Amino acid sequence: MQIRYCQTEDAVIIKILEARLDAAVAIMFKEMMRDTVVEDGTRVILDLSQVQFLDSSGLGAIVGVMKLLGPTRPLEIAALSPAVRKLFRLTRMDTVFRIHDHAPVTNEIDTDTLSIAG
Amino acid sequence: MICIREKLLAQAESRSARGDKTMIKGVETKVDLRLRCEGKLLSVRQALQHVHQFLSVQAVPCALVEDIDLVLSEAMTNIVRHGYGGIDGVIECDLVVNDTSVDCCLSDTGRSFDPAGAGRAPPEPDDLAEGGYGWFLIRSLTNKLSYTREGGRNVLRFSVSAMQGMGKDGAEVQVLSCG
Repeated sequence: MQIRYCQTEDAVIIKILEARLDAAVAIMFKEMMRDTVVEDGTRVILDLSQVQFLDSSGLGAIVGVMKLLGPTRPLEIAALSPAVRKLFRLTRMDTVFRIHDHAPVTNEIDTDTLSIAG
Repeated sequence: MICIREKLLAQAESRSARGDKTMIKGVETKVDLRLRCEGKLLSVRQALQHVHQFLSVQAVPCALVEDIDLVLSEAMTNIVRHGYGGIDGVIECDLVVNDTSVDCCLSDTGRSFDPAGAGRAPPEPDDLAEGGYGWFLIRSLTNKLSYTREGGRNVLRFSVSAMQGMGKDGAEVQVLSCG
């Protein structure tokens, strides 16, 4: 499981480098996010452009991360594939998250890739 | 991982590559898939990647492949977590590909369960629940859903159709197959 971390002027962008965010990796994702330092007042944009498959365990982990970050570090979602968008719509979680069509463009030099085994 | 094209030609059993710790064994005909996997989350993940690939080769529409992937993931995750609950076991998955739908049968030897009341009500988004969506999704995306206990086995049967769960957004159905 790998995520890429990028700090921009007004947001932290977390890109999930995984095609499937499912039950097998959901807990790892949540743990990685728990260890990610985000300052109060900074919004966090989760870039899902690489994620082609999300199940309810993966969705639950995203909800859990939103709760971990709390209201002072709002979690937003970006770049949903059709299957992922459908899951958000069926569960009506698209009414909870701010969803962007695209992730902000970032400078690759300013990114850190974080990995966890599994 | 198993090579689908070779298997389609040979119509023979094959095993995952040596050194792969998860066990996945499958037998395929031109339109059917029978697959066995260990009752572990990583094995389920690998098995579903195989199912996805298999259905794509069969030219099943992409949206239907994605629905089947999701329903199987929800049902098989439930089997691992609740049916086996840490005990070793095997999940069997049979798929039959029809013109506009795919029939699925999942069986396992885990604890029996009664899904009759599960997932009847839609989740309330403002609850910010981290779980409890699985059966709602299974019901939303399937028809002909049935559960039986047959000689110590849980048997879950359902069919997933191309238009299932699309509601007013039916126009979004893609006829292209998954790449």
